[in-house]
Amino acid sequence: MDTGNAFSLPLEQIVTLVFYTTVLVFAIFTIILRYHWKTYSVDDKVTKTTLTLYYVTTIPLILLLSFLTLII
Amino acid sequence: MLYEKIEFEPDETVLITVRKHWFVILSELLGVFLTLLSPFFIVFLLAFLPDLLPSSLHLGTYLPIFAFAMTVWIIFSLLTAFMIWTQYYLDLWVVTDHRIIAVDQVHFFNRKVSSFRLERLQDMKVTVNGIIPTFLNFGDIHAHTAGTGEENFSTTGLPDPRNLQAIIQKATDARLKSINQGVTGL
Repeated sequence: MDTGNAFSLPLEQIVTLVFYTTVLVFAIFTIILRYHWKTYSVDDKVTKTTLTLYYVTTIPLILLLSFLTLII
Repeated sequence: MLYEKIEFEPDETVLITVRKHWFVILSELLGVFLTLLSPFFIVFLLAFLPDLLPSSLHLGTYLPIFAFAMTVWIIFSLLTAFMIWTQYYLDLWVVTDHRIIAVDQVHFFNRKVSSFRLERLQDMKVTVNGIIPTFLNFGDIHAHTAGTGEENFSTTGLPDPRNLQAIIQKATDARLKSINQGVTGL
């Protein structure tokens, strides 16, 4: 009895779906984070440092994720 | 910026701005860091104990998928870490010589800003509870104010709470003195 393929998605489709979901979450999160720091922070220097650190750490990972999505 | 939104009175001066103790954020970030490391630990375990894997599954074959999953994991861990840092930094008490402004950033979509005048301050309680808070000198402050509807303000994990209490008490005394002088001077 074959029960393994009752519901299956090709791996490429799952990877693409996860990629788009991650990018969407990242984009929404970035807007919310930026809004909070620009509106409620009390120190310009801390705001700039935090946002720079955020972009420096996350954008390369998003680029790596795009690359991996392409090669899988 | 927050200070531009708070309308300070002309002769009002900020005495101190207080955030939660560094240990509070460190313990939260440590949790995120350990979560971030967990997939690396699993891969490390599988690489050194290949018997755990089914014989048909070779780690090398699925390397791009492992890399993809770990990248997603790291991205979400980083977003969590930045969320924790944002909540920590935007959650603060601003003590001026006229009032206390308590900003409580619970999460991104839950932000409470309370303000009470020092002359309304009736009672202030400091609690340092536990071994780590005692050694690192942080604790909770509960401020009780008088008014038509009696209000309470409290914040947990504030550094050097006794010193903060002393600053607020001193500012309250000075404020009451200046108000009384103003009344008798009329």
